[in-house]
Amino acid sequence: MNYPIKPHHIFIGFEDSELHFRNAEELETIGSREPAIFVALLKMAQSRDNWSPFTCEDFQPFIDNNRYDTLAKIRIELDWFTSDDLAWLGRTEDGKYRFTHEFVSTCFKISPAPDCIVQSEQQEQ
Amino acid sequence: MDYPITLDDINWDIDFRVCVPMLEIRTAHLFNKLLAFAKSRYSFDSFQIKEFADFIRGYPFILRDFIEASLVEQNEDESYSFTHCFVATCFLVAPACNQTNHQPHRKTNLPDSLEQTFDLCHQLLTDLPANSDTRLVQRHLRSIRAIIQDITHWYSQGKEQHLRDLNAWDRFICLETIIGQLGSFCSTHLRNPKQ
Repeated sequence: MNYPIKPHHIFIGFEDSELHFRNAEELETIGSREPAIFVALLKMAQSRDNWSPFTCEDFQPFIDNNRYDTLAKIRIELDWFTSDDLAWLGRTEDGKYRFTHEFVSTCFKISPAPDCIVQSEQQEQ
Repeated sequence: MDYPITLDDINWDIDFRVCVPMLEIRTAHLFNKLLAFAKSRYSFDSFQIKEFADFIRGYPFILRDFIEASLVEQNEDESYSFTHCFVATCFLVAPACNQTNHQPHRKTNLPDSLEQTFDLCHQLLTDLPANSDTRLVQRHLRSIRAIIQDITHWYSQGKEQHLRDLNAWDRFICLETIIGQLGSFCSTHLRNPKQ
C-alpha cells in the first residue's frame, strides 16, 4: 500500500509560512522548538515530491543559511528532531534521516493543501 | 486534487481510549462511535441526518456533540460531512499497519526483534492463500501467540506506560488482529484441506 499523503498535499504557505506553523495548536501543544525547520523539511520533500530519507547535506540548501551557516548547526537541529521524546524524524540503518508518520500526518492535519479539501467537498456534494 | 486519506488507510480496530489523556475520554468515545459509523457504511462520504440518527440510536451522545467536537460539520444542502480534523486525527493516531520502510512509518520504541516479528506476521498473512503447509502456519501461529503473551505481560506491569506508548499499543492491536485472521484461516484450512 502506498503512503496516502504526498508532500504536495501539505500547504506550507508563502512568506508567512513559518508563522503559519508557529501558530498551529498541535505544535504549541508539543512545544516545537523550531517551526522554520518544519517548513524547510517540507520544502525539501516537496522539491523531491517524495518522503525519501535524506542527509544533512541534502537538507542544507533548504534552510536559512544565515542562521544555520554550518552543517554542524543543521545537524544539531536535525538530531534534536530525532531525539527519543520526539517522533518527528527517525534514522535509517545507513544513518540518513527519515520522515516519520507522525511528522507527515501532523503537518497534513495542521495544514492540508486547500484544493484537496475543496475538491473533496465538491465530490461529496 | 482528491482528498488523500480513505477508510482503507486507517486501522479500524483502534480504540481511541488508548489516546487518553491526549484526548478527553468523552472525545475518545465520540471518535470510536464516528469511526464505527464510517466503517459501517465503508465511506467518509457525506451523510444524511436520518442515517446517522439510526446508527447512534440508544447512544448517550447526539449529533450536536459530534459537531461541537469538530468531528462532523453541516453542508449547505443540510447533509453532514466528516471533518478534516476527524479524518486526519484518525490517520495520525491509527494508520493502517502495512506501511513499508520506504515510506514514512511510525516511530516506535519496540525492540527490533518485535519489529521483525511484526513484519513476518504481515508477510505470512500475505502469503497465506498460497501456503498449503498447515503445520508451518500453525507453528508460526504458536510463535506469534507466545510473543503476544509476552507483550501482554509487559504491558500489565504498567498501565500508565502503555497508555503513553501509543505506537507500541497500536502495534499490539494490529498483532491481535493478525492473530485473529491467522486463526480464522487455520480453522478454514483444517476443515477444507483441499484449499
